[in-house]
Amino acid sequence: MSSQPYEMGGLKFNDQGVPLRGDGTPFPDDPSQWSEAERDYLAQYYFGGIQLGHQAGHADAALVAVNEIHEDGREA
Amino acid sequence: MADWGVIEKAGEFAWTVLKDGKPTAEAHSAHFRAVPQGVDFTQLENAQNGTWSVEFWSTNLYGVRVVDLKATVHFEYGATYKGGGAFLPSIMVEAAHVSVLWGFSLDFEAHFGDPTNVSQEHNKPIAAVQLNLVAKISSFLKTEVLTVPVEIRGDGQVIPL
Repeated sequence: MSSQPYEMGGLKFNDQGVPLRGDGTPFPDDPSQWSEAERDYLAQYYFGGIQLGHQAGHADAALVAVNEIHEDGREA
Repeated sequence: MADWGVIEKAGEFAWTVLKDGKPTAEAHSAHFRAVPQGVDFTQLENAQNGTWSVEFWSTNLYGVRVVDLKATVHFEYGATYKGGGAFLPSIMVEAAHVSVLWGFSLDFEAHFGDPTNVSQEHNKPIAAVQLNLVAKISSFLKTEVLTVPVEIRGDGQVIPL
């Protein structure tokens, strides 16, 4: 996602949507490169509290009348 | 010999539409088909085009949508064999819009059940199949799975389950 820099809770994000460390540099993608404190913080305030949802839209299909199948292939 | 009252499946029965948020190669070509037993889908006629859409999302603690997916099911229905019945010669699944924020990943799969004949009349078979759309949303913490089942019928009915 590309957008303007923004904040979520105590976290700042750059224009690529990557959260920034306290020194203003983006977090690396690899969690093994995060400190334990950073992991705990991100786990709680960015990755935490995940909820899932869905919404079904309407079907765009007109119902059809169903005819009999005829062995000789003629139309019903 | 064909038995019209028995619906059988053809094509692909399950595939991955998105892997790590990106469309897969199979997603562009995979079709499920529900046809009369012993009949090739190319023998069916008069199919009409239908669509059904569904949106999946995941929010975090702050209510921010970290994953957003709009999927469209494209299906051909109302297809006849020897002038009758209502079969499903093609069902495809498209990820029409995908947004995944940093640190999350999204896999999206389509799984089809065994098709059935939901008609009460033997000479007027109506194919029906349950499609399960499965979204797997992962972070370094864990993977969450959301499954949305829907039944698609040859007469054009779409029934969320």
